[in-house]
Amino acid sequence: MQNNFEKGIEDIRKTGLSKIEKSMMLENVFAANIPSPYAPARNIFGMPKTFASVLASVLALVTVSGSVAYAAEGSVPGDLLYPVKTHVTEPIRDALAFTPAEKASWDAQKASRRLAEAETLANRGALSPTNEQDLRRHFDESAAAFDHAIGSMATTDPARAQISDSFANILGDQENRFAAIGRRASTSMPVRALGEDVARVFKEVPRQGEKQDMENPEASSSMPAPNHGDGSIGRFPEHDATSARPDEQAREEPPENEAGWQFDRND
Amino acid sequence: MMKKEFTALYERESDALFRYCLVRVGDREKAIDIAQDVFVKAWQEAATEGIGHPRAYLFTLAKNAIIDWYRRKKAVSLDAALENDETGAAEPSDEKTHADIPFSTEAKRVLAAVKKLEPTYRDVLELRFTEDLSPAEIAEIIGETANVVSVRINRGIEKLKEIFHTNHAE
Repeated sequence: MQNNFEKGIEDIRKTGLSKIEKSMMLENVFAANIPSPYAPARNIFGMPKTFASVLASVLALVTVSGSVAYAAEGSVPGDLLYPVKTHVTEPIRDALAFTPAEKASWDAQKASRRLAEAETLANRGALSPTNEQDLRRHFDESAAAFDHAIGSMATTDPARAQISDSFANILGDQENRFAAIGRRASTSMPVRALGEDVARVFKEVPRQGEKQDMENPEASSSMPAPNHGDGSIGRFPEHDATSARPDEQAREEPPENEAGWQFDRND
Repeated sequence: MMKKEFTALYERESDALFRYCLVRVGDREKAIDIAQDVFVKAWQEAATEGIGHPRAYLFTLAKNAIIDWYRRKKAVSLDAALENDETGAAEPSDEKTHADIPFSTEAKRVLAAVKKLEPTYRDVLELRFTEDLSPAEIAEIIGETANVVSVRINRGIEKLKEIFHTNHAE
C-alpha cells in the first residue's frame, strides 16, 4: 500500500510537457508581442528611427494589435476575436515558417488547434454540424499541409521523427477525448465524425516505428499502445506517466524515512 | 532579465509549472493554456521590472490563474446547476477530474486522496508532492511562514495517509 502511494507520487512527478509542447509554448510566449526594453530595436515598418513620434505610433500599434492577437489565441468559432486568430495571427505564423521542419511543426499545431476548438465547443454543447464541418475541413487542410511538409524532410532527419511522433501523440490523445465526449454529449454526432477523421489522419502520420520498419522489415511493425492498467489504452508515449522526463536522472532523490515517505526532507 | 536567461528559467520550470496546473485543473489542454499565460506574464515582468524569486513568482502566478479559472468554471457550473438541479462545485473533488489524463492508477489514487483533503493541507501538499518545493518556497507562494507550512505538510501527510488507506481498502 505504501509502495503504491510512493509510486503514485513518483508517477506524478514524472509527468511533463512533450518536447514539441514545450517548444511551442515558448514560441507563443515570445510571440505575444509584449514590449521589452531588452528586446533588440526593430523597425518593422521601415520608418526612420529618428522620427520619434512615428516610431512611438508604430510601437503603440504593435502593442495594441499584439494584445488583441494574444487575446484572440484562446478564441473559438463564434467568438468575436476568432477571425483575428485565423485571418491575422495564423497567416503571419504561416509566413514565418521557412524550413520544412518549421512548416510541419506549425501545420501540426494548427491542425491540433482546430481539434481543440472543436473540443471546447463540444464541451460547451455548441458544436453544430456547420462549425464541425468547417473545423474538420481546416483540420484536413492543415493535416495535408503537415503531410506535405514532413514528406519534404529527409528521413534521416531526427526532427522529422520527433515532429511526427509528437503530432501522432496529440492526435491519439485528442481522439480519446472526442470518444469520451461522444459518450456523454448531446452533440455526439459531430464529435464522432471528427473523431473518425482524427483516427484516419492518426493512422497516416508516419511514426518512428514505421521508419524503423522501412529500414528493417524484420522488426516489430508497430509501437504497442501503452495500457495504463485502469482500462484506458493510451496512444501517447510522450504523455505516458511512467516515462521518465529527460532531466529525471539529474534530480537528487531524497532519503526515505522510516515510514518510507520520500517527501519530508528539509521539513 | 534577458531573453536567454528567461529561456533558461523556462527550461527549468516549465515542466513543474505545467504539472502543478495539470494536477489542479485536471485537463491537459487547460493546464498548458494556464502555464502559457503564466509564462507570458512572467516574461512581461521579467523584461521590465525583473523577478526576485522566479520559482515562487511563477507558482504564485499559476495559483492565482487557477483560482480565476475555477471561479469562471464555478460561474458556468452554477448556471448549469440551475438548469440541471445539481450543485456546482468550486473545485472538483473526485477522481473523475483526472479520468482522461494518462496518469498511472497509483497516481490517480494519490490525486483522488489529495483532493479530499481540506484546502489548507491540499494546497501545500500539491506543491510539495508534485513540485518538491521547499517549505520556504511554499510559504512565499501561499503567504505564510515556513514554520506554518512545515506543520501543515506534516499534518497533511497524516491525514492523507488515512484517506489513502481508507480509499485503498474500499
